[in-house]
Amino acid sequence: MELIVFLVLLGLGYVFGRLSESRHYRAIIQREQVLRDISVVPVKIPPPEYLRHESTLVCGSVVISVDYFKTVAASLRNIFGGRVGAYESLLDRARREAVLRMQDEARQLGAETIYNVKYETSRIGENAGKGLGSVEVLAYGTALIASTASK
Amino acid sequence: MSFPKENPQLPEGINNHHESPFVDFVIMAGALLLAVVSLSFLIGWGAVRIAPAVPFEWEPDISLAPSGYSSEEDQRIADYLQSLTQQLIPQESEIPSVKVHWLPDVDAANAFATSGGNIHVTRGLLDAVNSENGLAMVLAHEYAHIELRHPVVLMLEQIGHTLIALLTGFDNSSAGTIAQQSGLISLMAFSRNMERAADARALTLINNYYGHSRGSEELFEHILEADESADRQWGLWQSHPATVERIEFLNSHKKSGDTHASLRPLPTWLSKSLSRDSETQ
Repeated sequence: MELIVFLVLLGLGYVFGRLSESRHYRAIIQREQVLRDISVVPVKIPPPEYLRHESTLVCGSVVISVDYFKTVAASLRNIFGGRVGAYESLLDRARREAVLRMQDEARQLGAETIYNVKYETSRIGENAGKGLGSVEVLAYGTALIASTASK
Repeated sequence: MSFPKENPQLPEGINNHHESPFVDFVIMAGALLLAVVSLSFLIGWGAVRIAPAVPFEWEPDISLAPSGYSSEEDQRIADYLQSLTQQLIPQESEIPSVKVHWLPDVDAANAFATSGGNIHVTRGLLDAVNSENGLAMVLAHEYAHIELRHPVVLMLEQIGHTLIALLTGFDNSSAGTIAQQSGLISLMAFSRNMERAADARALTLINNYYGHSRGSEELFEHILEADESADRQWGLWQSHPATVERIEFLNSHKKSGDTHASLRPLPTWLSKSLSRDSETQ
């Protein structure tokens, strides 16, 4: 009985996890194209040409849940070692989605670029049992908006 | 210096390996399964060989029966079971003492051996057999477990499995489920082998004592009658071989004259006592 529940959860996790992951990746790649013109740089000090720009904080945050299949695959990796591919793609998606949301916000503000970009990652649902839970990725930076004075 | 006008288009697959997660999973789960099963096999193989070397005196004396019987009737039944068992035990037996306990309050048909040479027989079992031959087969089977040192084998196997679990840090995590299940399957396979070995040894003892093995399948026939679904359970997780398989084994070892051999009935006082008790219940 325990095994049947386990296999059903595993199957559901795999099917729905894969579906949502591939759909998410398609959306990410497409939106990255659309928002490419809002450059994202980690530099702490902007070059002099932006001296007269207005600046403001922009951030994007995303929470993605781990599916059951991924936790099982990851706990197997715990035994054998090596790249935890299941979590790599999860975090990759979360980081890129967070940047996209930050860029979205910047676009709404009419910004050209975002500098001093940083990431923060945290795990939510520590109490939800071993391995299961969600990850939050927060991307934030300073958006530079061409002010009317500088135009 | 100036900021780039747009973000570069980075190639995919640097931070996320696009390998097939399913294939990866199957390989890892398969490897874990194989590792646990082969380790269990090694433990089982070792346990069967180490157990006979463990002195019988080292076996802890574990009995689940209450000390003393409430009625004279129960004491009489216990004495009868004890003497029947003693007659079945071969002269050259290395087991110093076998104690048979009678469980008058248990209605499920069951008999089991525990460490330290203890055999337990339930009321349900006496109800399930029709002749002394049928009862003797069960007692001989339990004695065979003791003679083959199965309680020690089981103990060693369980110690081994606890060690595997501790070493690999398995708990209730998801990979732990795979490991636990494969460990359980191996343990059950050993358990079925022990039952087969005990059946085979018991058959020899029964043939030695009665000169034939007629009636030895009585209990199994009763189990089949009582519960036809007993054999539809999937075999991998069963601690005993299929009842049908055990009956077939016993039948295939019957000699030509066995079908005409006469069965020895249970003592009249015992049959009376059992039927009286079932009426009052």
